[in-house]
Amino acid sequence: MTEKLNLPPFLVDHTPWESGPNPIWLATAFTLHRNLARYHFPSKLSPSDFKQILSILSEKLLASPTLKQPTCLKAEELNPHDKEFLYEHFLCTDGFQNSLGGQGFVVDTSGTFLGLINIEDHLLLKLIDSQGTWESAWNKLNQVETTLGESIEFAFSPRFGYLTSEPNVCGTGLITQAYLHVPALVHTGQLQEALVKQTDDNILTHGMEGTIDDLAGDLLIVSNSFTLGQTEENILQSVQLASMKIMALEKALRTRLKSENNLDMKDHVSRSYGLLLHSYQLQTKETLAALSLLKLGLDLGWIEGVTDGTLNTLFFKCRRAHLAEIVGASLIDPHEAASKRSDFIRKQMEKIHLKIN
Amino acid sequence: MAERPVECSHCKRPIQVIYKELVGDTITCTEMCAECPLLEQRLHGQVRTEGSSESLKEGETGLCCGNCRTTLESVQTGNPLGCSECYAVFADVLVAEMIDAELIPKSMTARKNQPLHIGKAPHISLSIPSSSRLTALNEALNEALKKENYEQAAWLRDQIKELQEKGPDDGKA
Repeated sequence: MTEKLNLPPFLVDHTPWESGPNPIWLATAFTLHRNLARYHFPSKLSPSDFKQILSILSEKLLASPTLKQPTCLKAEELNPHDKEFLYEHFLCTDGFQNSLGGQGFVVDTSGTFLGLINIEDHLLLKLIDSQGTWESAWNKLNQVETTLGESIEFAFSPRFGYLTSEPNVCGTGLITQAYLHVPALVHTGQLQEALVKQTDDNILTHGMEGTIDDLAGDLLIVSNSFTLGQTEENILQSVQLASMKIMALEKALRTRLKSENNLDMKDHVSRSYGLLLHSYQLQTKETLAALSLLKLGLDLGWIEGVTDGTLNTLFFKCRRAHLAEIVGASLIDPHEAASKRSDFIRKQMEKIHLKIN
Repeated sequence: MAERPVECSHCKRPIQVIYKELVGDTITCTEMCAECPLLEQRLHGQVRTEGSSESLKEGETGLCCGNCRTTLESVQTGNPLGCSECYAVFADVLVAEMIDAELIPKSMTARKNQPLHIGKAPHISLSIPSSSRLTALNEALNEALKKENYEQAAWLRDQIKELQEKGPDDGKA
């Protein structure tokens, strides 16, 4: 049996993008990096300083008026399963499974805020927006940071801005990542060309596991290249602009695929449907790939009996830590995980039907 | 989901080289970027001694942060900085490396010894107006029309209309 999750129920019961308003844009994640001025950065911290910083920052975050009933979770009190769950829930691309004493996390009941203490930098403030209100989400994160800054001195220099352990994040310390679902661009082989035409030096594109050559679940992450030499507003606008252009291309392509009744794409969607319905072992990556095509099929009117929000939720629930929580098993053995995943997905497929003629 | 590393195990760039070394019965596999100093060392047979990048040994010379003892070599091999002082000590090297790695906008690279940071400063709250998304949509629409991509433009126009009707804070994506 699995170890029981030590996480608050509001994290376990809801996934960030289950009520997403747009089938292409799934979420935007904002991350702010900060360090305290009077301490060494985490790579040079003594164990006692680690504890002191955790105590200072968690106390300040718990008192933040912007956060809704925040809770502090100490890394040493969480098991690896809890950490993997947090990693999946907050769309993290860097793991923190090895975090130990003196490190911690602060979450609030919105289920969209994560404060990471003494991981990479003294403080990472992360907020997930899945409602499409980019500016409100940024303003909330900024409010949390500004309130903290009234009583804490952050490491800052006029030349380099906010100082971070990794120089490539100094300046604003802001990383904005938009998660776009682009199966039409991927499966028609037009993604590379689209990215060359629609993005500029201000933008980086990658997948959840690395380069765009291998996008898990056809999820493209559009993020800012620069944290230094740009304002926060510039960063937000360039990521928004690039995202809008890519979304418009994806949408135009979907409209064309539907009107052409594209046989290749119908074949891809049907095969994915069959795979999810009839498999007895499913790996995470192939599940994401098939769910992605099901999502596309739903948008094109080729699938019925499910909502886009439910398919979005399955994107989370097929990942190991979320799945382990659902099935109540540790899933350390990859074969067992693949088998439990396929059982779970098959059940979800019961009401889903193909509408392809 | 990340069941394999996506970045060089030594610095933070994307993996481009997978280096496998067979010694006796043991195979070691290192994933690194193309410019990794570690790759250079592996290819030319130089072996890094444990902890050599962390601190200067007695008698060694080199640039070093007096506050946290982080060395220039450590910084150049992609290890994290140790404290705020490192930015002052290694300023020139950091700027040169950031320019090489295209981590600073081209318009800022000529600013020798000038502030490179133009964003928020401590004690200043920086709200972004809710019209920001509308600006981005209008800009995307203009570009689409310029490129005569009318399918793309039609969707963007719908989004703008929807956003204007609902108000920016209710608009979606």
